[in-house]
Amino acid sequence: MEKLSSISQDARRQLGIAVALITVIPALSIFYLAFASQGNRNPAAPALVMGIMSASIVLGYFLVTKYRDNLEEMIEERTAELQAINDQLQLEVEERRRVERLKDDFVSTVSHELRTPLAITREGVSLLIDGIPGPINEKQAKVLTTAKGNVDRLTRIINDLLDISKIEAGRMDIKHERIGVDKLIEHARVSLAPLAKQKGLRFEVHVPEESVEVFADEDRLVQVLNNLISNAIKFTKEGGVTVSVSVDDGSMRCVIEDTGTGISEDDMPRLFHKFVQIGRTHGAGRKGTGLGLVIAKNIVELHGGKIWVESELGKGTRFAFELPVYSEEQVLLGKIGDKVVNARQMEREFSLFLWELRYETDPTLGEAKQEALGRAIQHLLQTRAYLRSTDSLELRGDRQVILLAEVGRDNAPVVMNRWRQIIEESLRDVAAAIHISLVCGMAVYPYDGAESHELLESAEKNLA
Amino acid sequence: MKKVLIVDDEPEFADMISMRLEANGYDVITAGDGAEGLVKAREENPDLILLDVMMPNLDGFEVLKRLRNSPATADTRVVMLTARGETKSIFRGQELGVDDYLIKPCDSDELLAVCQKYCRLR
Repeated sequence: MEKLSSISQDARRQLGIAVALITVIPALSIFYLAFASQGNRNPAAPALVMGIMSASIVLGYFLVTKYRDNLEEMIEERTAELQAINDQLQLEVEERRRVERLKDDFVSTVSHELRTPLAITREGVSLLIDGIPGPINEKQAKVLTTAKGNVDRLTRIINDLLDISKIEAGRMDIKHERIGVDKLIEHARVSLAPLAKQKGLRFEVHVPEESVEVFADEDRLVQVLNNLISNAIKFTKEGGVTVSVSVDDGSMRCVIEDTGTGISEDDMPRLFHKFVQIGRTHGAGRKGTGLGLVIAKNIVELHGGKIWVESELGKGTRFAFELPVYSEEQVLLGKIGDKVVNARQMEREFSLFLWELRYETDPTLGEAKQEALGRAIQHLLQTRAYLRSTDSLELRGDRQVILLAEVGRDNAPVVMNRWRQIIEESLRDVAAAIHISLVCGMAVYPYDGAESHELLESAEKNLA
Repeated sequence: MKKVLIVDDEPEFADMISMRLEANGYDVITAGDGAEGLVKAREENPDLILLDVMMPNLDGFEVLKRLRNSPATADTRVVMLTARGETKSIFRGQELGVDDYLIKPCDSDELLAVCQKYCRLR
């Protein structure tokens, strides 16, 4: 699409000619009539000149209106083009939303359609085993127990498949809470220790004396532990499985070590991929779907951690994963993350506002003033003015206040200014004494970031 | 005797759960869809409502919203039956005032524990 200025070169020339016709020629004519005709005896000359002047003015006028029409036409065309582009974009956005909604509907519909007959069958078999419709004999109990076990197996397969489809649709959501790692391992131990015992394997757990905490989704982490530990048990004929936890530099590391068959170098790269099942399982152990490790890897990585394996054929295997230890920053990221999940599910926007107080901690200032600052910040956090019940205020360090508000891109600047006023008001008494300056940064989901750390980084980047 | 209302569009599922609950001393009423569920909730005044999320016409959320909007049923305990990890359900349910969730297929122990808890709270 050419710019208006370049198209109108022709039109400009027309305009130039028109201006000349309207101004220059009549001016020359008048000049001639006024002076040059003095000595001229030809009576036709003035009439001719007047005629030329009139013709010139009319022609000029005609050209000017043509130029104006031309311009109007170009503007109309341009507007129509922009309108068409806008409509196209609108359609694309709607289409994308529709696809996202289809994905969600697919997962929940399939989930429901598969689970309903499973739930009915499971409860039916369970009722029979418990003798509720009437007593049963030993053989019947055996048959029914086998059936129940396989209904559970079907449930596991369906859960795995649904997890994978959620992961691939970017829909696996983590609900964060503060949790002790020992509690998680205990969950896993309770479910799997009997299996180890059945195979005559030892099961050891080593955790540090001081409780290690992470900010994570309890169900999902237990899922990871169950997967890794049950694999370890499955692939070990004799010896045992050891689960150990250690902390190093803000990271929690959990290692699951076994004395089993080990994994060959050829098989290593295939491990964390879909539907890969390696080696023979020894004796008792649930048949897998080949999806467990892939799901485990995704869960660990969604928590901001990493997972890896070391093994040698015939010499056992060590699976390990690391997660950040619970800290306020983790909690903050978790809270922002929860907001992201909510916003995505509900197809809403939300904004992250970051205010940073910049001041010099002057030792001569005295404790009183520092305390006053602390109180002012606390007071600010308790002020719920203009906030909806779904908005939240968080403190980050002792200099940053973060507001998560359900406003979209259009209203964000207004909210930011309003809150800037509230903060400045709140700190007014203290500010003068400690020379505080206030800078703000803003990030809107989903425009400035789709994950919690992206939004935070974006807001930090535009602190001004 | 504590009264439980099951609102679920799968009559077989409702039958199984009823059998289990009746064997454990509960009085059970069932409704095959949301509209019937609302009527029975008002008429029977149950101690607990087990409410399926996925139903045609009036889905679980609609039913919950109407229950909460009506003074007669605003405080009735409601437990929603949903599929695992359907976070959207959980958010919406929380916004509308659900008391708890059960995930299908549910363990009979868990079902009984939940019923005991919420029937007692009344």
